Amino acid sequence: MSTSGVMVNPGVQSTFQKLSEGRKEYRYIIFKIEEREVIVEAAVTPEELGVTGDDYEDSSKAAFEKFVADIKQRTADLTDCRYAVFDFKFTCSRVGAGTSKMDKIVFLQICPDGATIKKKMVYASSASAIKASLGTGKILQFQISDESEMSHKELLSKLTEKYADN
Amino acid sequence: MSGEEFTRGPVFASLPKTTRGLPTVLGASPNGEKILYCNSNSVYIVPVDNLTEADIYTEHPIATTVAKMSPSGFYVASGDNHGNVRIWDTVNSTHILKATYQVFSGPVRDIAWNDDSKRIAAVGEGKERFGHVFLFDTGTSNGNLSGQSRPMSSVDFRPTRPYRIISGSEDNTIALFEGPPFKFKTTFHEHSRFVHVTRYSPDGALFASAGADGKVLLFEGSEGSLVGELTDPSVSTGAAHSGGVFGLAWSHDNQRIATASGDKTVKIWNVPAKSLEKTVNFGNGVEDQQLGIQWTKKVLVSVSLSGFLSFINPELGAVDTVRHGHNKPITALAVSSDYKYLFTSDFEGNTTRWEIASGASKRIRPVLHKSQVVGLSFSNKNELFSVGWDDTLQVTPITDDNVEAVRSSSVKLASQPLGLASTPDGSVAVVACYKHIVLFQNGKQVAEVPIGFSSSSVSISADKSLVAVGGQDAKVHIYSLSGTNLAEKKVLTHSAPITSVAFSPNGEYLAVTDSGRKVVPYSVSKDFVTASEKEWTFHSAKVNCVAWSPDSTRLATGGLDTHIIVWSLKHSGEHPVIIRGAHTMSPVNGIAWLSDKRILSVGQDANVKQWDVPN
Repeated sequence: MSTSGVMVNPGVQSTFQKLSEGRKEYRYIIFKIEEREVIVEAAVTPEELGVTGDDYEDSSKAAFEKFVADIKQRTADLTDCRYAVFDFKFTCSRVGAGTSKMDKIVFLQICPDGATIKKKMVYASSASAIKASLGTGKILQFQISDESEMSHKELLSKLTEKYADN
Repeated sequence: MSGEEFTRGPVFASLPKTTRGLPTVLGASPNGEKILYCNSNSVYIVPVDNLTEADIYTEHPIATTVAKMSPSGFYVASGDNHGNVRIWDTVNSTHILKATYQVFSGPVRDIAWNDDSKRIAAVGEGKERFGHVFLFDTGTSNGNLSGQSRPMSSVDFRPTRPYRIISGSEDNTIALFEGPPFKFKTTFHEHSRFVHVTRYSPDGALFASAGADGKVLLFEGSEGSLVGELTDPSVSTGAAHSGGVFGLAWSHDNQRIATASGDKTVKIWNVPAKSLEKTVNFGNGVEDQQLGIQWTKKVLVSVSLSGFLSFINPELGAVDTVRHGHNKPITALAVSSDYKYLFTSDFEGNTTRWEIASGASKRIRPVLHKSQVVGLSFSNKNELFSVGWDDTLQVTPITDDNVEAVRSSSVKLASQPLGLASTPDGSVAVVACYKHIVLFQNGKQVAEVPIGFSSSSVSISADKSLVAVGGQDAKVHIYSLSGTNLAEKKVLTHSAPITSVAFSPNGEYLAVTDSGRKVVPYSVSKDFVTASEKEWTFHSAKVNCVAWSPDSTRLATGGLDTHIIVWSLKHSGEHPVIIRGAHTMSPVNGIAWLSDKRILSVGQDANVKQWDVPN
């Protein structure tokens, strides 16, 4: 339950719908808290990302690297907090089913150690509000406090671990 | 055997369950002749203009929260505390289940049907989501109601195309969804506190919202632009009400809105003029807060925190009638000797007087006891004797004029009372307490006899010569009463704790029930030999209560097994009349006869039921 009093802008949900449903217009979205409200900071289409080649082949590595670079730039080298959703496309091998292409949306709560305590508090206590309004039932959540936790390999191994045997 | 063994008579239905600070949602049938509400595990469909009828649906396994009838009138969707929505048929009295869906895991707060009765939206306090919209016949999802960040309290469909869903949430927002399939469109932040209710006008042109900030706002129906606010100049905050608004209902002609508020008023507004038409004031107590409202065919029905249903004439802005009664288990009852009035008391100590013929009810005020009432009796001198777990006996003179302003005299008892018996003229009353038997004459305590067992029930014979006390020690202790002196005369032994005892009106028999399922009539004059030919063990669980017919030939018992059984001493070897599931899913707590052929029962479900039992 959100107790920080931070509101969620209607744009958050409508932008997220464009990432999660239908044509999947966006590849990732970055949210930030401004004037006690969660708003969309950036919504990036695959074209804007400029990644060529099959995302499933490299398990979104190229796209994710660009996403991380974007985050680092927006948070002044991880001294600020953000929420983000990323459409993770990857392949994983399952026992008896061979390899299959997977497409999972991940929610990242990025509260780096370098950010001020006040910011970390506000983002942590408002996380439930944005998660509830996105409808978190179907998306995976990760809490990130330093760059290594945001590495592509780390997330991929968590995803494959979760989806490999079910 | 010819004809029916029994038929169901009038029912005085329980009142809706209420929770302070939360709206109580009332449903209505499409023709506006019936209202729907919930209490404990049941759903009630109650006619607006008849106090003695009710259709009670008892299939929910846990506490119900809201029930709405489809616009076609053929189905009801009812929700419960675990997020289950049951959809059931209204045409058959058995209410065949169409489908049941778990929409989320938490209490359902509101349900809405769309105008073609095909889609249902349910909202509440789920863990992973707060709302769900689905097709009623297959349960297929018909969209996604996410977008609000705290539990959703209210939901409504736009009744005309293009379809919309609106919802109010505890994150202070109103959300608008477009569809089908329904998708989040936007939220409105005009309220500064919880939004309790959102409702479309019947023609879909506007929708109104109301919340804990006392504001009532009007929006355009399709795109949701704010078109105005209803304000009362006499409210200092400039809002519509000085307290939270919990209920809102549109009139069928789209011209008026009625709002129910925690400031203990109902207000009726003119929508085109955005002006206040009528204010209906209720009392000053917390229990007079109004938590829900429904516009039926002729009248407005408003529910207060106490559960009372007020029927308001919208033209006059005045309360026509009020249905008092109970929404907590009824624990005790008494019938006046002329069979005109019924008195019932509930688990919380509230006592209600009913006119048996019409079903009209009045709460006795001030409250007699502050906790559970365990015994009631009404003398032919119009005095109500009552004992409760506040360890007092209250003697209250009650006439037609003073029901709502009674003055009772209170006597502190030596230990916790468990049973009360008095003679019809009220001159002698006996209270069985945990460690004492206390004797009263003309309302004054005259004797206090310590006992070596803990009592459960008591009865006094009509000639005032014998007192029977049932005990937790599985024995019935018979005392002879002379003056103020009680002397133990005989002990009858059962195999399980005694639950109730009753002398027959002619003094010939003593009926005893126990928690070992037995009902035993003893013959008083033949030194308490068993008067029945065979053993009377037809209850399948503890027997709670027993009552003799006025002619002393039959007795009725009610039990934990939800059954009522009517036994005849003339045919004591034959199978008795069994009313199975008399208070469906709920123990029978008290029973009385209204004539030689009619009985009245009260149950844990807070209902009062009558049964005709011809010989």
